[in-house]
Amino acid sequence: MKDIEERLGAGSVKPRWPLGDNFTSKVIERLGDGQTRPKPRPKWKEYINMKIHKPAFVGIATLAVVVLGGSAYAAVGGLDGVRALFGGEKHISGGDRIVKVETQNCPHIDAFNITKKDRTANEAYYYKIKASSKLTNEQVVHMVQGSCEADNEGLLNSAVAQKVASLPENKNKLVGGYVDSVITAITANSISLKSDTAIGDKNGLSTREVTQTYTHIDPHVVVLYKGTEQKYSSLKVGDHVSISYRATGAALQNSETIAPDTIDVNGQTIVLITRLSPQMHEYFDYTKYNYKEFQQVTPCATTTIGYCTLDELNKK
Amino acid sequence: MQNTDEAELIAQSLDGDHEAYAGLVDRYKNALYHHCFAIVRREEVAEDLAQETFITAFYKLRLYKPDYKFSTWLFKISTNKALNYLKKTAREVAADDELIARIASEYPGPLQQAEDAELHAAVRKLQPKYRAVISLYYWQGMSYEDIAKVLGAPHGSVKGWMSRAKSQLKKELS
Repeated sequence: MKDIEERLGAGSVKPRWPLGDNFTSKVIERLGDGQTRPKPRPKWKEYINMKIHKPAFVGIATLAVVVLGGSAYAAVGGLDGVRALFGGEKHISGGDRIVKVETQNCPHIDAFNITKKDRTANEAYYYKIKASSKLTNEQVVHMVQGSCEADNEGLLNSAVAQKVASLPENKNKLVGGYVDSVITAITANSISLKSDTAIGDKNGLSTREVTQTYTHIDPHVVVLYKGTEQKYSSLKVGDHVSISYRATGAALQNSETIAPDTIDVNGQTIVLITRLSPQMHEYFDYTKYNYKEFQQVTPCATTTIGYCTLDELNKK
Repeated sequence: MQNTDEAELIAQSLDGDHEAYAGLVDRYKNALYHHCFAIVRREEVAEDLAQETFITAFYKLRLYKPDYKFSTWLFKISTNKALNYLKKTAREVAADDELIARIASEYPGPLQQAEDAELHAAVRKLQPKYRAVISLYYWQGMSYEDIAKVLGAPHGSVKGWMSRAKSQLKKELS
């Protein structure tokens, strides 16, 4: 009798027949008509990825009010000329409507063109607003503006964040928490954060709050606000923050199934705390209403309304 | 870590290049099919699971971190799918005599065939998780470290499962 190691090494449990010749073409066929792309990262992951991995960005200067088609919407006071403007609306069947938002200098992540090289190019975005929604066109524009500014703010913070991420003790170990957490308690050695787990998660459509207390704060923790470093002691209850921690265990896994609220926070050490500006809240409105009351669409010829959601495009 | 060619194919796939993605599918399809089969024991299901793995991987490609091997990530997705399949169907597929007799072998002499059939039957009796460990280590050539990443478990747990799987196999084959 052969040794078990030898037997396992010599022969595998193999299927009776090989894969069909058309296996690869069947996979590619299922991906659609050649327009399908990988989906964007969930926002809570995208945001930290942007802070840590994207190059620093400085926006360009600025305008604030624009008149289009007889309607005037003042853009929210922005960072370095990032702005979103009302570009018109179109009513479609069932009482829904399409709102066009034109952006300038906006590093907005376009769900339909996530790999776009020049993310600050002027773009028009389209949103389908449900008939049941009470969102006004002005609110939609402001939410997009907030989203642009949130992304821009992430880019402003990225240089310092990159530095933190590249420290030997942090390399390949940094993980981001929720994009928006509110400090509910803070001491020199611990911080309690309340987070809305639905933000940015298409599947988490019902709002659910979670409060987590981190008891390990790195002695060299970096606190950032709009690209500048601040003291940890400047943080206070009620501040909105986004954290990055040096992760261990499940928190470090590269899996779409790992959610921050399932992680044992005691094993994680906070190394970066980004304080969020009020503009960020416009962005969070965007993520809260997204998929519930409105959804980004793009002009297409394959639906009766002339616009497709990303899922509709993916199904083609 | 990825090799340059693979990194290029991934980057092109992220840009929506389906032809580049086909290159990645071609590279790993057989390994994933064999691995899924080692767990679920049915060719048609294994093929479906391998296909589903590639579809999921394409849409989730932005979640892939290049500090992992791409193959490790694919095996993670396929292992989850295979184990979930077994959980959902809540049944094991019986290895009938015909199937055991027709197990492919690289050394198809009568003795080898008989030994492979015996091994096949023994592996079938393992828990699905243990089958995954055996398949990844012996038949996909993965390290314990990579298997731990695939299964989302500590290194020590993987070693423990391997040890238990092997002692169960020894008992079955003795």
